Amino acid sequence: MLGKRYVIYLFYLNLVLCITVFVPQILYKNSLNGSISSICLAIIVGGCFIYVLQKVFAQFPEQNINQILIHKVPNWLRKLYIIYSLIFWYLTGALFIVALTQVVKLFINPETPLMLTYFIFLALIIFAIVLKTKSLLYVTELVVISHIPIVLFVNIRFFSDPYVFKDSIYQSLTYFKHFPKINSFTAAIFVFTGFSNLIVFNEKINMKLIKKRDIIGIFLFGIFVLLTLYFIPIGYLGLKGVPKAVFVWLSTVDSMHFDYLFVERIIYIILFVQIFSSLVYIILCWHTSVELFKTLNLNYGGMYKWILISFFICVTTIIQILIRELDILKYFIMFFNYCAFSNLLLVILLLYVSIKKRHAS
Amino acid sequence: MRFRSIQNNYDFQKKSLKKYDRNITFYFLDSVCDEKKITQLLITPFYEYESFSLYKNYLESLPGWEIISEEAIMVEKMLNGNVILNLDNINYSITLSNYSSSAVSESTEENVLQGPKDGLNGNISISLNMIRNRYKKNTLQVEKYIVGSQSKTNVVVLYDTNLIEINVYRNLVEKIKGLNVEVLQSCGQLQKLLINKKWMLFPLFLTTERPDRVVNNLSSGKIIVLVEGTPWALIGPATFFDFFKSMDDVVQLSIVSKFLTSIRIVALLITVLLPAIYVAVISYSPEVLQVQFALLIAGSRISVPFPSYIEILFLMLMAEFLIEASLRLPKTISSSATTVGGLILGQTASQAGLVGDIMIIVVSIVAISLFSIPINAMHQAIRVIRYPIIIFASLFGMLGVIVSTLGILCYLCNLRSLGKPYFTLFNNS
Repeated sequence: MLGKRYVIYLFYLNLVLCITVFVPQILYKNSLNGSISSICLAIIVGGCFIYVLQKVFAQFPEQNINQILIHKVPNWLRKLYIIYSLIFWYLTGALFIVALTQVVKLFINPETPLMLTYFIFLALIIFAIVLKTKSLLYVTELVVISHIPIVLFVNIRFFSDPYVFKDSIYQSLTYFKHFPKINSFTAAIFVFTGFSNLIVFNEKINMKLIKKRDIIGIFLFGIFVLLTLYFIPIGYLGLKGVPKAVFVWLSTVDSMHFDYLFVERIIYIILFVQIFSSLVYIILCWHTSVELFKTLNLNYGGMYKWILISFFICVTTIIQILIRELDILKYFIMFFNYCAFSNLLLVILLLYVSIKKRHAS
Repeated sequence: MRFRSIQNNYDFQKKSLKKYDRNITFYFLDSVCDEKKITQLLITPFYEYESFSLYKNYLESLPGWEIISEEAIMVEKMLNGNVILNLDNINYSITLSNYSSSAVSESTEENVLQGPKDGLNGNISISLNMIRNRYKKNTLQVEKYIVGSQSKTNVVVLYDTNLIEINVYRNLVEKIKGLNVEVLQSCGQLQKLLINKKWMLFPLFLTTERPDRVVNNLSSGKIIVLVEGTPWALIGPATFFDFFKSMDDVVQLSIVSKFLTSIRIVALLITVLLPAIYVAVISYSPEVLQVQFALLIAGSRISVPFPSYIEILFLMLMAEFLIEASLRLPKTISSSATTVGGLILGQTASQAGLVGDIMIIVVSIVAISLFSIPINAMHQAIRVIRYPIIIFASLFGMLGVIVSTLGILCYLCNLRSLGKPYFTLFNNS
């Protein structure tokens, strides 16, 4: 059993990933009519989500979702849910690879063909998803620890930068008297869904060690990141400027100026650690998917896993070929809605199971 | 008397002598006692004296004798190199300790500034003597196995029964018992057999020649394996970061030792990543650097006719040749080899315009930082691991560096040493 800090790493990874996967852009679509209220609503719902998930998973130590559901819900429902979440986690990973290859093409290697980048990523990911679950958690730890100083650095730079338009930030706050919009809300709630990988990782992480103050700390940190995610780009690009950028956060970091480093543009350092953490997140997603597949007990003999993985490769390649750069944002809006729905489903199922367990005992 | 706590050790000896239907019994640990002295001072007189009372008087004339009744104290005395002699239900303890110092040589591979200087010995009993004399606890267990169908090499396993995890112990002992090999001659060979994989780069066991490192690891619950004939000990389960600790860190004050450890980690990062990042930045994304710096590098490369990866591979291979040459040559010639190789070749290569000046600086930094890794086995592994990253960097630029580094990290994190994780930042207990 691993300690509680690994849960925090999972949560953190989810937080920082939002930069690459268009969460700020989707929020800025409604920046004049409802984003602020959506963020407030997302903070409330996200807090409840974290609390419920921690409570329920702590009741089922060392169990994955299959062991939690077995004998408590009908067999067909359990299998259906596992297949559903398997597909969900697979799609998450697939969509994130597509976004990541776009980032690489735009910012790092414009000359390298898109498909070449994609296949390098795929090779690494396939190599990594078949490793042991604990090993992947150790990798997560390494990546998160190396990511934290850079996030701090950017934040300190923001708070000490004299060129930030503070007025734009105040101006954006004035648009709070609007009803929350569903797309903005689902994008903002994604920040808080870092716990949902636990359907597999609960087997290895001891959730009981997580105290109330840890939950509050995680929650406050989530709020902080969500707010910085939304307000820092406005401070640099202006309220009217933010919706125009494609990768708004990367453009924002590029407009920060550093005189005293080897590297003039800090964007590269951010990009490198961002690619690191995104790759680890994708690996975790697909690993979750493969592990869920193992719980289905299809006479599991190693062969089936490779069939599933080759299926992953084929479908992702098709998605990668067919998807148009302009449509990615649209797919991400759809994905966040779908993601919010799946997490709602997870919470309902877990609450049902825990109530049933309480009645049985 | 049973001496239950130490009787299973293979160096524990019990000898009974008989004269006129009366018994005397000796108990001692032969690794810390001088057996010659025992024969000379205790056994021969026993047969020479006519009566037991005379022998008793003789015993009481020996230096360092004592009468002891408690078993715990006796065990402690034995660990200190005393012989316990049971005569008419009276227990004498007599100091006949043997602290090998004449046969002990200084450790040559792992140098320290201020720590103890001794190195282990190829003779197991001398090594055991050194370890026992540094770790006087009755929980230290010594077990002997014989490995090799033809060489019949003695392999000794040491551990502290209170601190060891039973799974780790079982894992190792089963592996040693299951070894199928004709000739076993060294620790490195044993490590290879224990890992038992075809492709292996990183050492999963710590190899050391220092008894103080052995004792340090014993006290933190590790298992030590000694092999007859080599002055090295295998320590397992090891973690990646154990290879970056020098025994000087124990001697130095805490902040200094933390500083030294972190310097070694920085050196590791530099030696692994700097050549690859250089290639990636020069060939793919020079816009990363400050303008003046980028121009400086471009200026130094103005006469170089090759792409940067050929330049760096050429120079890094030269550095490897230099290391190999100075390693195998006799000491008197090796200094001239380094002069020719390092000074003359480096200087003229840059004057002839074959490599940029900055490239020579980069390769030298990489070589120097490689040398700061304290343990040789890890040093060699790091030497090898740089090349795949350089190749990836020259194929895909920064992306290649990221992907290959992450791949190596995943591989490292997936390794297990005796069932324990090999590469974790913090302790997981």
